[in-house]
Amino acid sequence: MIRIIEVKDLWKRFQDGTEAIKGVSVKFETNKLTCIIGPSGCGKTTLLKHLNQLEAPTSGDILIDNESIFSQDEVALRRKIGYVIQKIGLFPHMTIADNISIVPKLLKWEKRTYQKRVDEMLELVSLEPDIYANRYPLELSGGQQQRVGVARALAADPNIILMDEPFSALDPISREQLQEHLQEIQKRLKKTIVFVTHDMDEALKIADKIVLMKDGEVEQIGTPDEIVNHPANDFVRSFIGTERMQRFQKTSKRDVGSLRQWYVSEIDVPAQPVEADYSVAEAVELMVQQDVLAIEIKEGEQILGYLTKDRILEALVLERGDAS
Amino acid sequence: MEFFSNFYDIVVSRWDLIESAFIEHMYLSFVSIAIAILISLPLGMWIAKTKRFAEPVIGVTAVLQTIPSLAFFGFLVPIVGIGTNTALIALIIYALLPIVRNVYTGIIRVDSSMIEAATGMGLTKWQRLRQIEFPLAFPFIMAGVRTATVLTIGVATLATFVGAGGLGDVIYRGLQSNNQYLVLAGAVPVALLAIGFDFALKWLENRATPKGMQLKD
Repeated sequence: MIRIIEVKDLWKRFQDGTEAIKGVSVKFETNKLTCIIGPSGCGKTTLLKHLNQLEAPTSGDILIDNESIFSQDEVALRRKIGYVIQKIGLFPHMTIADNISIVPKLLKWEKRTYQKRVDEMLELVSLEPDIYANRYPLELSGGQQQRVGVARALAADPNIILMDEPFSALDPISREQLQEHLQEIQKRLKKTIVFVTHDMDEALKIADKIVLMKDGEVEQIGTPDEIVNHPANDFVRSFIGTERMQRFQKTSKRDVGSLRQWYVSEIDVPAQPVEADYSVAEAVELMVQQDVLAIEIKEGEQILGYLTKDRILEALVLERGDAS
Repeated sequence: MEFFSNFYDIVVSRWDLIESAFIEHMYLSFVSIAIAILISLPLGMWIAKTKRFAEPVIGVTAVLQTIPSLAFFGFLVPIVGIGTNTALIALIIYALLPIVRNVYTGIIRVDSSMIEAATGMGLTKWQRLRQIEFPLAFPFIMAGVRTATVLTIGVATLATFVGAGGLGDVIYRGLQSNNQYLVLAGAVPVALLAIGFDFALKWLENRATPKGMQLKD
């Protein structure tokens, strides 16, 4: 059982002379989801890629369960670590089932065992095995593809999962769904997850611990609460500050009552009733849960109007443009 | 109508010659393509992996390709003599360029995210090549093989000048005896052979290309 990943004074200088990582020491705790976050070029992805030896350090060491990973066979190491990348990286010539069973096959699992595993994994990420197992990646939407990406990383039951901005290429709704899904999965399976992101909202939402990086150095390590309430320095403060301001400005935090000019008076599809002081995000979440395409905005007993999904999207796009 | 009946008469009266020339032609084309594939596949993959040699290797094959085919057969005669082997050597060298170049392009074109995902999941270099890079490059490789095949079948008509037979024999005899029907009786099978091979390879390519990749177009 893998317990802990320990990065010790890691330095990485690339051949062109850029120093990507400058003396990083950090512990990724057992069964916790740790987010590495920072502006682009801060070395967060490079740090992640050291953990499965896709990058070799200039100096320093990485220990998993007190054993240096650099004394181990890199191929064997990688098969014990799940890996999800931003560009998803599903193999288009293989079915979903084949994609998911790659590592189990490499580990010489029996056919019956890995076939059963494929079904379990698809169910875990809410894709019906009967429908999806024999499809090809290009027949799936981006969100569905990345669900498969997560299923593939979990297939051989690794204790460690590395995720490199896995949801950042997805549309906002799929992204939120996958974040929530990951949280549920993590609650059930308890893996040591290292998750790289540049999105503070995402980190605050899903992380147990956050490692904040800048220019190849760690600026602060802490729980989301600690980072928000006790930022270690001006950089951390500004990094959260701007993120938070953006968050407040986002139209999705406004209540649906403020979108009055987008209301329509009649619709011909079922609608979910909501109060006018619901935020747009809450309303959208309800629509997804109830599987309807419209909401009915009420104030007490009085119906103020209706908003369809398309009208909401239009409002979000146009009003965000106005705000900025 | 007279044209066709004359042509028909020639085909019937020279059938033995045409038949054996056709078989020789098939043999020359098939063997040289097969050997060219056996050389080009590893060569193309190797230069795709060690990028340093890509330019020189493709450059050399391209230069060989520019030598006029008739002259090339001529060059080889003092070195290897006349006969089937001479023809095969020339044809193999001609077929190299399109295959090597397409294997190379096919392999280096594979999306870097595929490579990263495959490596990160713990595929060895060899497993990655066999399970990921080769299948993804396959349509490209087949395109190269088809180009090379059509080319080879055409150039193989020159094998007659080094005494290796083939349908070139029929054409050459027709030219010497100023018999246009005999020239045609050699040329038409060459064209049919090229078209036939191309269709067969296209069919094979469609059969062997995984369904998931055909969705892309």
